[in-house]
Amino acid sequence: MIQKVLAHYRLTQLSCLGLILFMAVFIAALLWVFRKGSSPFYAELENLPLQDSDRSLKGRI
Amino acid sequence: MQNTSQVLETYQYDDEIVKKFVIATLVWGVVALLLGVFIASQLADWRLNFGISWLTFGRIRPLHTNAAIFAFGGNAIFAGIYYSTQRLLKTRMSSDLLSKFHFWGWQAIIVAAAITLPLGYTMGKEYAELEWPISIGITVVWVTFAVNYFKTLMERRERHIYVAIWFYIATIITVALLHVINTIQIPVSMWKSYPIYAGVQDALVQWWYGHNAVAFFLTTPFLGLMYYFLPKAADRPVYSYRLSIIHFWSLVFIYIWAGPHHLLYTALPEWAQTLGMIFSVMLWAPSWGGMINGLLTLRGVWHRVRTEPILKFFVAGLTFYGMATFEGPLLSIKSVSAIAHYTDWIIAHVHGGTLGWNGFIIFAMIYWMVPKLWKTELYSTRLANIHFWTAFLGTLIYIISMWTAGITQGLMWRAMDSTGHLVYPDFIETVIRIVPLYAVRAVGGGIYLISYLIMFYNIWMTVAKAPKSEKSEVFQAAKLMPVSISQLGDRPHRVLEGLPMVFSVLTFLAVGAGTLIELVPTFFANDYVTTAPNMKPYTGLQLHGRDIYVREGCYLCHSQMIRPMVSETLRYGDYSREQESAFDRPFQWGSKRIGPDLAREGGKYPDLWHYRHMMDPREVTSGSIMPAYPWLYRDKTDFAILQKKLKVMKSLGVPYSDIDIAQAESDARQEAKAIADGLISQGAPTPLEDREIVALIAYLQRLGQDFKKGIIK
Ligand code: HEC
Repeated sequence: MIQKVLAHYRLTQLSCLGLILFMAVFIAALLWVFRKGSSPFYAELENLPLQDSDRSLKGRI
Repeated sequence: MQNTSQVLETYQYDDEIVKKFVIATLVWGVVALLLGVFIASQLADWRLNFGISWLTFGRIRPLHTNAAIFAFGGNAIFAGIYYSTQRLLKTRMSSDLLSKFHFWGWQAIIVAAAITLPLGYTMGKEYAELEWPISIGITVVWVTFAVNYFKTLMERRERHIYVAIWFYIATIITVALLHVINTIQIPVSMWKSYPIYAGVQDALVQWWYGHNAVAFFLTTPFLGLMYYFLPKAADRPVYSYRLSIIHFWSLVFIYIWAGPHHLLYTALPEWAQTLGMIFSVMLWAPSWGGMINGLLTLRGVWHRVRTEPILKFFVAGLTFYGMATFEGPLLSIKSVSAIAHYTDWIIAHVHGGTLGWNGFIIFAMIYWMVPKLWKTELYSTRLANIHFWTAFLGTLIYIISMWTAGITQGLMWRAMDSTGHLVYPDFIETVIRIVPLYAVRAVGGGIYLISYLIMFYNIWMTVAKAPKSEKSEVFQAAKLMPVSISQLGDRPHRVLEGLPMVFSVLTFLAVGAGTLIELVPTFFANDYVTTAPNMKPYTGLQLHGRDIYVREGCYLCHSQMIRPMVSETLRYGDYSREQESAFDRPFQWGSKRIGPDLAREGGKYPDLWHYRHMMDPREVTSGSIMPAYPWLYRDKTDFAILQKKLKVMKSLGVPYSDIDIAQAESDARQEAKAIADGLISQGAPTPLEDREIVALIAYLQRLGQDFKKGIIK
């Protein structure tokens, strides 16, 4: 039924727009995480949970 | 780049609030599982509701799902979020008062649900059953949580935002959006309201909500917890941080956009359809990447999985996650859905997710947190291992029995012989065949409950043996200095990944855009769901009967949606048309057929059949597992409220005339008298006309009549 109802729906530009928009953002995110020079940054980030309480006395920026 | 003016600040974590949420999780978990085993047993043996209205399947099932998702799952999520957020941000929650309000407010909502749902106060929309006063309460508590959370983010002493927090933020934003849009309703009285959406539109909004609630209440927060607690338990960082980011964005899109929305592809030009397909596959891969990411985090410490129950729970939980996210898309394939929809296969699917994925992650988290919180050791690792194996066994028995039941029944419904007739024309035959599996399922659930009680005992002893009055630790960290963009010149990425507000806005945009694109079509629904000019809305009595149908939760066992498939139209009659539910608030298409579809029930049997059937289903259909409804023959119809009901309906656009409203009560009494007189002349006892059963029969006899009488074509 939902399928049938949606088939009535003719605003295809909107669907296309959404599809392209999301795909663009998704690809952008992919490129973003693999940008050059980001490795040390992510190495730092991924260690955040491991250093929270015990080693926090030092404090980091 | 940061420097000279470092100010060291001391702070303590608010672990009291985490302890509170942990205890609430443990307690509500027992309730949720107990209710589940209870209603599962009722399907195996109908007598187990003891003939008490507030213990019947239709009233307890919503309580079971609400308790499992929002009480057990909800409290666990909050416990984990409060624990990990404070530590990841190196700060205490912004306001203890707001944290407390969140905790007690949430418990109050659960208690209110536990009282109102068994009494039959329900919106009749799955996972959004709670009536409007409670619904408003949920909004208030959720906003409190959000305010406290975002304030905490602003007060943080760690510049970078770890990926777990992204998942939490997405949860907070999206759940608020889902809840508010889906529960807009107009009250009739303190405990009754009608949604502003009707029929097709209500269905689309409801399943947009339902599908995304699974994503943003049972998936994103749990992934956040997994990304924090798994590295903690394994004592090593997550396998690939990059993958976790892709995982995040693909999830935000996969549900909002590629979920039910892929139906829209049918109307797209070919190139866009192809693009859409590629996109769906691309989105699906990272979701599995998430599971692999979790499992590979354990690289090098696999030997510890053998001995440490916490890691066991993580490994099994992630595996169930992978299974459920594989099964989900499979079930949405048209030809698979044709067999699986309305059957117990779906029940197997959701319990693989909840018992296996959500449950196991919660257990791992509890075993990890409790000793830390109470500054002690776990009472017994052996018991925890026993818990793991029994819970695993229980889940397997549950899933396998429901798969078998679902596929068996699905195939029986479709079976046709060479002459084109149904092989099992009597619905009850397909029920009797799977009742033994319902018993097996109840056993599986029972084993899971027992395993849970083992954990309960273990945690109880852990806390009881913990040293009393431990002072909470004090930490120190530097205050976070505002950094201007220019200072960041060399590392622009920190702007995006470090700024929670920018990130929140992006998430909101992603979710919001998906929502618009998915919901906009429904607002055009009125263009083509045109009601036939001579199609009449329900009479007052029928409407009241419908509300009784909603109250008793009949929709949890009966669908009102015949699909355009030969086996369905042969069994139930012509397939459902969208106009037929144009006046239905809430829609009652249902999602599960424990009993047959009722969309064309009107006129199929005489009134007396229904009268006897509702009194004792086994008297007319031997082997039936439907509950008996003796109280409908005792309780009186509230005729006085009908005027108010019709008025609200009219304000929502249902074509009632002023005369209809003015005479609502007398019209309904007249209609009831006619039905009652007919029944009495066939031997039904008096008095009858003012009893609820008459209103319900009026409703059942109306179902599908517009179509049968040719008003809708
Ligand atoms: C536990 C699940 C369950 C619940 C709850 C339930 N039913 Fe049923 N119902 C069944 C089953 C199973 C059958 C098939 C066997 C039979 O005829 O009793 C059935 C059959 C029926 C039929 C006969 C359909 C036909 O065409 O043969 C009607 C009418 C019906 N139910 C109405 C209701 C109403 C009204 C309610 C709510 C007050 C309700 N049911 C609640 C399970 C349920």
